[in-house]
Amino acid sequence: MALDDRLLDILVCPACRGAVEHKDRRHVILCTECGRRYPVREGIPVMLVEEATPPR
Amino acid sequence: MRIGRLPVDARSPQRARRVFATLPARYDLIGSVLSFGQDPRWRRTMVRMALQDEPAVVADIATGTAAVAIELASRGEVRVIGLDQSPAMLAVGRRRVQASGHADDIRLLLGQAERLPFADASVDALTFTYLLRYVDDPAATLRELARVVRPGGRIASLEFHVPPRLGWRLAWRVYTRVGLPVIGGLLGGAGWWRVGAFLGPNIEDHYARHPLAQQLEAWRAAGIEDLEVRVMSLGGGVVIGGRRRG
Repeated sequence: MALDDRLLDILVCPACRGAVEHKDRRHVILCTECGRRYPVREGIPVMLVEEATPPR
Repeated sequence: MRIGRLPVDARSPQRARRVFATLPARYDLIGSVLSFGQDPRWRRTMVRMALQDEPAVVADIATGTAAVAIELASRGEVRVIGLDQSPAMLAVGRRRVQASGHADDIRLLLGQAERLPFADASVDALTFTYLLRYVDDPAATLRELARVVRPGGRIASLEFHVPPRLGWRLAWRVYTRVGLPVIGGLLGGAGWWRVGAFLGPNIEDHYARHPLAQQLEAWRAAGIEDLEVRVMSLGGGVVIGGRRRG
């Protein structure tokens, strides 16, 4: 299941509700506001704040 | 997987969540048994409510093993986003979605209903199933659910209920206190006996703390109006539908 643009239009960061970008090659969804990175595991985005890599 | 002495405390939604998070396949089975096999009919009723204005994008919250997501995709020309907080449930859900032939229409993601990863007013309709019994603050969760639905969009839910009429309520009590644990025990031993024994008290406790009338007030307070309530199967299940104000 690939991530598609329509899903990405809807998705926001659950911590700050900022817009997100999908970094396909790194299997990561990156918040463009707060910088949290959410993993994508086996095609499923893990949009849980406690699973996110904190902003650098 | 350790169930241990968990489920006796019906007052802990967190704990309940942990119990069921590890038990996806049997969870569906217990749901089936507790609903007297009526849960597909409850799901269809909820899905009809959610789809009545022909939404393009529907969010299905607490999608679990994706039964509702698949039902939504099979009933309408919709894109479904199924969200659940349990990886174990979603792993089963993903296999079911692939087997259903609707993999192109359904996307699954891990997330929390209390903190949805969706933009304001970003979906046309939303469904949720067996959710509010497992959250700490049902009213706040309802506000969060309503936030992501566009004004005018449909919201529908499905939950177990305690039969309101005394005779059926007594029968329900015997069934949940004796029948379910015995069935659970037969299916999976002592741990499942406890899971079976947990659900009945958990459901009653939920309505003791949050009576249906109070829950409907919380729906309205969350900005959801035109409420329709269908108590089904002699009161064993309740489907609630409404429309986001605006």
